[in-house]
Amino acid sequence: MDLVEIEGLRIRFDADGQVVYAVNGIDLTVAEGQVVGVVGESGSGKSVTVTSIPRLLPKTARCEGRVRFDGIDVLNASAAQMRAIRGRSVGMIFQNPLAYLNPTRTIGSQLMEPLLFHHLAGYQEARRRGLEMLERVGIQNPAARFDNYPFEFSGGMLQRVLIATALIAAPKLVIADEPTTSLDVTVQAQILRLLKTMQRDLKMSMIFVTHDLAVAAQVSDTIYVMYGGTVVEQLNAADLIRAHRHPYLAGLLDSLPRLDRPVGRLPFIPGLPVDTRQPLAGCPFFDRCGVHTDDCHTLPALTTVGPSHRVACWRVAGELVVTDPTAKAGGLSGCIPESL
Amino acid sequence: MQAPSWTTAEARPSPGSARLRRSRTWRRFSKNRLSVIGLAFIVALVLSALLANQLTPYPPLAPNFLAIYQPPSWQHWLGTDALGRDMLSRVIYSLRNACIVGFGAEVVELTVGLLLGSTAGLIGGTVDTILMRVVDVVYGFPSFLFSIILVVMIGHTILAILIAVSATSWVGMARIVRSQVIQVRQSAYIEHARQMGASTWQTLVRYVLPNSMGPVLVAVTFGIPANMMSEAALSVVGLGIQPPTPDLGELIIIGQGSVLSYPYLLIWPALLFALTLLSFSFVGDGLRNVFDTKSGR
Repeated sequence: MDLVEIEGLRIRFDADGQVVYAVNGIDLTVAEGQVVGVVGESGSGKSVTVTSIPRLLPKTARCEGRVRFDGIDVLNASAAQMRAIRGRSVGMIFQNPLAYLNPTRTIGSQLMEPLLFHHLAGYQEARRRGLEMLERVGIQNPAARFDNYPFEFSGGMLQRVLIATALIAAPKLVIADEPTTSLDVTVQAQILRLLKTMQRDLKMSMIFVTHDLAVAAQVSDTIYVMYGGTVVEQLNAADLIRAHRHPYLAGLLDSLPRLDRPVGRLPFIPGLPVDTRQPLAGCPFFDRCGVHTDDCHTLPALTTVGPSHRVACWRVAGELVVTDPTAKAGGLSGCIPESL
Repeated sequence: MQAPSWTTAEARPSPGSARLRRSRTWRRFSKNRLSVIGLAFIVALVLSALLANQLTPYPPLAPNFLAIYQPPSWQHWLGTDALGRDMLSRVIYSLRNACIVGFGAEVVELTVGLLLGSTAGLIGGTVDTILMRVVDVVYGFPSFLFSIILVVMIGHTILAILIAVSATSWVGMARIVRSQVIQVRQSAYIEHARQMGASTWQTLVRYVLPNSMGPVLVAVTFGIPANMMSEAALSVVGLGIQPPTPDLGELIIIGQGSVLSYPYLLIWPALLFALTLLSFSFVGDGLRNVFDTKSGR
């Protein structure tokens, strides 16, 4: 059995008569020790999907379907059961570390919280392990920095602190929700390497949410591409460039800037993202898709097209190859760095 | 060449150490010199109220008919009143009641305000609506009238006055706490706390309240003098502490009766009262500087 099993998950938000259909039926699994990348544009429902695992969605969220984590039926578990999971079995890293740390308390005291909340250690032991963890995530002179306040750290350092906090209780799963979006490229590379190393060393599973295909390809084993609250394609990171099938993913890869070509106008996907205030009728990509047919008025299911490769597209299911992948395989290697 | 001394990181105290943080707080507070003076004045007041037994040169209640209406002198620094009682002793003793009611009612106010405000803010929904409507109703009461009714009902004891003063003053505090809690509750670090497995109680005590304290503390420095005012006002209408126990309000109203012949009977208690209220305002300003992080360090 896999560590995370999400089946047919639907999430909508009801706020003052305004309904937002954020997630429209998603299947996602994470095996032990696996890194799953979830890629999609803003509003595609990626953050909402992963936040449902520790059940931290706002009160206005209505969930359907099944979310199992480590054998626990998350959507029906008791509040106490969920609290026992958070911070202990699931660690989370967020986009903006400064906002996610309490400004009135030292980073050391916050770092120890998962251990103290779950009574995994006494104060002295927690402090010792906190210092050890700070050292591991690359904070120099941890003993001196332990009693610093968040505003005394740089963004990259704070992200390291947040990683240390998420990992201190050695969780089975760490959810990284766009952890490098607010960092510059150099620091981003350091943080990615750190996350990957820690994930390997601690033998954790990881869900890595990002809108950056290149980053997802670097870090993940498997990539889920989301659009309009659905998964449009799931494939191995290694197959991303050569074997992708969905028109949306093709468009995304096309619009990556490249270093090995003269600078021109970047290709883009015409149209606007899905209006999430309407329930999905048909393929979410319909309006922007250059190859849609009449079939596309009904929502396509994820169909297996290869080993651990599934696509939700009627054209692909009907054996049509959307774009010629060999044409750009060579060129793309310039924009996606080597795997870590 | 010798390396500059600042290259040795260990030699410097870490910038976030508790000691330095405390000094930063103090530096911001003392930026306004009046705040420091006000704080010193309040400390002096509280000390003299506590040590009234040791400090006062004469018993505050003992009449001395051989020394009535004496102007300030070396024997009686602030003069004597119609019964020959030493004004200095009476003023110091009257501080006691002012402090008991001022601080005591504030403690009640803070407790009730924190309890109701954080409950309403944290739980929200129907609980919030009900609690805040209760607050609105109490807020709509003419608070002084309410205090008068309470004192009349319970009696002229210090406890009754304390209850009467705090009975209506908590509403403002509850509103401030609620608005703060609602604001802080939406912060990302609260989500992070929940993510780390904090219970509602732990979230409240370790995350929400410490971050809500700024405006609450400032409100406290304005609440204490307001309570003292209410207490004095009750004395003025004859519903305060029972004479002969001295009380600032009562001293002022008696002094006002003979202001043309014996102005010092009015001036000293009134001056002391005014300075007390002013000191609290200054301290409040200083605290606002401490918590106002927007105007730079």
